[in-house]
Amino acid sequence: MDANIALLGLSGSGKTNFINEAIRDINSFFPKILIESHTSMEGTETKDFSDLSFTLKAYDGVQWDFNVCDYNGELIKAQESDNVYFPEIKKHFQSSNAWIILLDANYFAFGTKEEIVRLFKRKVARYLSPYISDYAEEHDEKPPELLFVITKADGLLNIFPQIVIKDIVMEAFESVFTPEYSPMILLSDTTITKSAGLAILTLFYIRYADELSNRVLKLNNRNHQIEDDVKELGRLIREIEAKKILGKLPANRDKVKSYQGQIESLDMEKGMNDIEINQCSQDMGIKHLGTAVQCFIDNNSRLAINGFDRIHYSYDKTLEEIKGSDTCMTVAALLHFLIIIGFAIYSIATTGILNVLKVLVPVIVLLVFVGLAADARENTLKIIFGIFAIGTLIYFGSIVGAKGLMILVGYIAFLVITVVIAEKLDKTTGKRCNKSVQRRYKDEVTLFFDSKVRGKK
Amino acid sequence: MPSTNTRFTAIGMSGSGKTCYVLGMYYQMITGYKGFSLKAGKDSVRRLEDWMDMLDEQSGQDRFPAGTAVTATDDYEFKLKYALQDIMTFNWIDYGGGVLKAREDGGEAYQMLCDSIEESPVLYVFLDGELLCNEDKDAAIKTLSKKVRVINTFLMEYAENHQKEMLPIVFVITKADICLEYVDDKDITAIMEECFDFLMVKGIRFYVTMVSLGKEIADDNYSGEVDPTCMHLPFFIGIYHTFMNFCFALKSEILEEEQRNQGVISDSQSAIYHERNKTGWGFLDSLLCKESNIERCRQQIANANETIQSNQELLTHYKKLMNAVSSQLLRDSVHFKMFEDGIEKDFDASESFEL
Repeated sequence: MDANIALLGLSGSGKTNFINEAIRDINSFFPKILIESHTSMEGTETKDFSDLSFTLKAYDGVQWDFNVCDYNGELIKAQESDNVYFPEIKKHFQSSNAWIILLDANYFAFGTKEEIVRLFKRKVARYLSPYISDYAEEHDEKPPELLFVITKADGLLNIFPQIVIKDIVMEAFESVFTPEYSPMILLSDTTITKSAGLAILTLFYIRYADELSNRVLKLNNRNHQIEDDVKELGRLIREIEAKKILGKLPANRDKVKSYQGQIESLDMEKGMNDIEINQCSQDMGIKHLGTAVQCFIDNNSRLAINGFDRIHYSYDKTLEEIKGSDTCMTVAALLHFLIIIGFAIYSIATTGILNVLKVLVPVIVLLVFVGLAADARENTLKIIFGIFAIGTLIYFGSIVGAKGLMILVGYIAFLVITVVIAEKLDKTTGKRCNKSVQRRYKDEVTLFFDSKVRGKK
Repeated sequence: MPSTNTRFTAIGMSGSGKTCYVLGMYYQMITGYKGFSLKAGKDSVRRLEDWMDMLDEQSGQDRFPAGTAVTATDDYEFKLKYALQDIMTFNWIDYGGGVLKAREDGGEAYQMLCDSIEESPVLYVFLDGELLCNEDKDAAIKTLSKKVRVINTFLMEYAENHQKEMLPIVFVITKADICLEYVDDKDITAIMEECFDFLMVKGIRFYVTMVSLGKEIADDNYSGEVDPTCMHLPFFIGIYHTFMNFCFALKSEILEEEQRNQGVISDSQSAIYHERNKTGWGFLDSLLCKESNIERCRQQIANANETIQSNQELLTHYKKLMNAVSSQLLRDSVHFKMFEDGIEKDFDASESFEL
């Protein structure tokens, strides 16, 4: 699936930055998704026109080549006769079935909603809309896949709510937005999210998902046709076999044979189609693209302000309770509690009843620290509380003498062994671990993209 | 198949704003209006773009395009789209305001104007809203009445020649930003009764719209903000009538073709039956039956069904577009007036919904 992606934007709308950011964003998803540039990115700002080619690679080897044009935004205000690059740009637009329309968020700084709409219409939409219209004229009155990206949108949501931003774009481009067709609108900030990269991935996801679903639809239709053909051939065979005398004629026997051969070959084709349908539904390329895009939408719903509801990649968002871990922790805590109680009884027995109060205080402190260590959310805290608990135990041991110290050493060894077992069993080493909410994502790919999308640039 | 190309002719006195209207219409529609948009033809686009720049960047009277000369005719080609789908292509013919007064003395222009009107399904009459800017309403109406005498003569002649089939007329009162301070809805009826009383008769339908290049355009010696208002209405009304006629013509043509194709299907089906039952003897029939004949008939049936289906799809497509035009015009009907058979009526677009 090769593609041309058109970036439509006036001078200063951030086309060059967008390309650079998109590459950086997508490459932060390495090794699941990777983008390779085949052209030097140097100097695009100074040139009037640069044709850039890239390859987008997904984890299992699926890859897509695509071209993007970077150009001086002033060129698209020009007419054909004015500039040598104009025909090239127009040709690129016409051959691109996915368009990213870049709108400079700085326009949102000028006045009320109505004034901003007017400004967008006068300064931006007036020049961009005719290109979309021209494309539709050349392509059966169908627009390209459009994605509006508001660039430099840092803090824009502090000025206007999502709904107002959406209304402004929709009103400024009234020729494109209709009740039947409402393109996607995305905010792109320069410092926090990876929305530039996600804009590109979204377009690829939509195209690839369409391609796969069309393929599946075609194969299913073919399978239905095959089923009908097989039924028809079966009927013909039964018809011939029903003729008592004529059915036994050599010509009819040959016919039956030929029909049976056809049925076999059709069955084989259906089997192959079923395998291909299965492959399409388990395609790793779509899994990686879909999960990346969906994780972004889920985590940055404030930025995806229109049309993204059409993307619903169903990755496994459910969380699983790790019951083994809870059991481990309960058994470990119980054992440790019993040992401490036994240790306390022993110390009281050996030092006499007068020392009970002397022993009681460290025992309480010890219990508190063990409890805190078990309940701590972070491993660092666990270690700190664990050290305090051991410190208390050492003090406790020093009170009860040499035998007590030996029990203490035995206890520490036991503690280490149970912690190691518990860690191995719940596999949560180095991750957030909470006694009451010990959970993790089921899907490793989802977890990967979720953490990457959450991670700042 | 009926054509989706048409032409609209605009008449009006010099300075009434015919050329500015073309600019304002394009200015408003280039970025779209509720899913509708206008695309200018190659020959017109550069001029309109330049005018738009002029309107945005300059101030004073210089920001507006110069009027059309008496002997000149300007032809602007536009394509109206909804959701980027073509509705109609129309040529907007703009004549110099003086040609009505000069008549035959204006040379070829007058004859061309008459020919153009004959070809237009809707006639546009532009009235200068500035003439209504008078505290004394009666005086303002009288002034307008005097100014439109030439138009009246022309319209009367036209009405006389087209008694059987009078085309709809759209009156466009320009410069609404300044005249709306002086006139209101009721005054519009009074103006029409005073100035165009001869049109208040049975069989004539006309509309009155008020348009402006911006509420504040005239502020500070015409340096105010450009914000075209209701510029789409006049040509939307024209498109409504023309496109509706097109759709009805298309529908009747499609119905005729469907009947023809149903005939083909029925003939082919009986031909297949006869081919299979030549003698009524099953054994003989299967020997005499020519599969090639049956296949040919089947093909004819398939072709006929395909044509019926594609025609239905085409009609559905145009119905959808017609519905978009009618619904939008209905929503905007508060901004214009419709007079039919001498009475002011509410626009309900019911005729288009019968499609």
